[in-house]
Amino acid sequence: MKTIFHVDANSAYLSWTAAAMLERGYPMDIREIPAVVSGDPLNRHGIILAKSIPAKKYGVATGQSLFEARQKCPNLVVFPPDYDLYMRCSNAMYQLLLEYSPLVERYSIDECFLDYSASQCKFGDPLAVADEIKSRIKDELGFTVNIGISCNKILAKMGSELKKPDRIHTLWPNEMATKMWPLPVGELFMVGRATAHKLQKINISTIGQLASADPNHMKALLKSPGIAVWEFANGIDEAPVTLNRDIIQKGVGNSTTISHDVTDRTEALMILLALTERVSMRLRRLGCMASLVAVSIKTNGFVRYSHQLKLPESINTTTEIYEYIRLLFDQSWKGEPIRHLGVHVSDFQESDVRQCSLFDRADTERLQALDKAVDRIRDKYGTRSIIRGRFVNGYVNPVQGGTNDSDFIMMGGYRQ
Amino acid sequence: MKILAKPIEAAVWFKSNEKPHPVKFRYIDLEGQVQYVNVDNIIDIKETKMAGIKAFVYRCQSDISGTLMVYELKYLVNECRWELYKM
Repeated sequence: MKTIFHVDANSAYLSWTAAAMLERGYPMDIREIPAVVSGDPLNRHGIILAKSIPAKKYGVATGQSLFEARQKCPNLVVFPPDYDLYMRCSNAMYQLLLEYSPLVERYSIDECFLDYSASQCKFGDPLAVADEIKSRIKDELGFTVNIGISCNKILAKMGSELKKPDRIHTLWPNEMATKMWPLPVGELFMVGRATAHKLQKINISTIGQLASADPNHMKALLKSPGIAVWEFANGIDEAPVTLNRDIIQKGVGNSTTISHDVTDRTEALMILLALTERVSMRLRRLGCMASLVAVSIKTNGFVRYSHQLKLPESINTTTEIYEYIRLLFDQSWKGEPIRHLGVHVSDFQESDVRQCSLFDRADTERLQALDKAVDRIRDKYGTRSIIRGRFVNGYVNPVQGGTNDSDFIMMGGYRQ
Repeated sequence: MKILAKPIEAAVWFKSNEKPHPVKFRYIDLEGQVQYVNVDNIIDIKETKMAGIKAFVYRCQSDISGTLMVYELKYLVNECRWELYKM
């Protein structure tokens, strides 16, 4: 049987900010007062990214607007996000974990899976080692973590979600009935608000009730995720801990919330071009070509729609992708003020060797050579060292989407 | 000792195979006076990674205005700068 650890930083953004501020001589620990990390409300990024435990007691929740949070807790202290700091803290945690096993998967910026099975003969009892890891992170890096220990990823993850902060929990299959099954079904990984609501309708309100349900019934109700969710409820998960470089990425997308409502087509297209620059750069870095292109639009009334196109060929040049994006945007936009725009590509062909066709553009090779040169310049001198002429002297950021020039780790992998 | 984390100007001796060795530094004290301090004795050096920030913390002892004091200097590796960390 395998031994898997799931290491999860407690209120990551907030405790990393707290640790850095204490190091700079800030007179108090912001984890002990009602405090939040939030984006700038003036740019319409004012949502709560992380909250302290005292702030949680006032009903402040991640994802709420800052305005809402301030109404619930008038003496709330607000700090801006610092993604460089978060990257440093996450890297330091990852490096520390690598001392215990070569198999560490960075699941997101604040979560790692560690396969301890082979390390056990060197380091010994998993519980004692988890305790050592937890104490070392606290003493050396200045923040607390929860560690879940079990025989697979899902149970380890569910284990680390039990009581917080600064705890270690085991959740072996024989402990599921007492530790996991009494929890509300919404606590289970992959069960969001919509799924929980559907399950509630058929009187499934705990994870245990879901585990004892009929898997075929779940499939009929929830379609293909139904089986996965039922397996998770029963602690079944065959997925191994995979190094991030071995994870196959199926799509690349970036989006941005604009600081004002965009009503002008030219401006919207410039933002889409800036997003395409980022997406196509990432696509080329993966060494892939895409044959499905999609645009998503969110209006000022928070109505969201998207439009996609399957291409007969695979492409990866910025200019070609943008041409399809422009076409999709013109076909789908109904003229409403736009709040949020997104560009997404998928259906990858895993090589940048291109299939020629009779209907190819004449300048494809030139475009590929141009993108290659631009990518090299940007890698060496920074993303904004070379920009398209149409962005010169304008106020639209020439490359948009992602944080810290897209080196920031979010769910599902990043450049390593 | 209290955390001050004040950036300082320091004269440092970079030895061939050892960690940098602070020789003297100056800082502005609470009364706004510039203080010049010679680092008389380095008690110990610790590597830290608090909040992922790699640094070396030097526990030092000096005669400051006639009083023998223990304080800590910090060398922030990524930023290549010195701080009067604790006093």
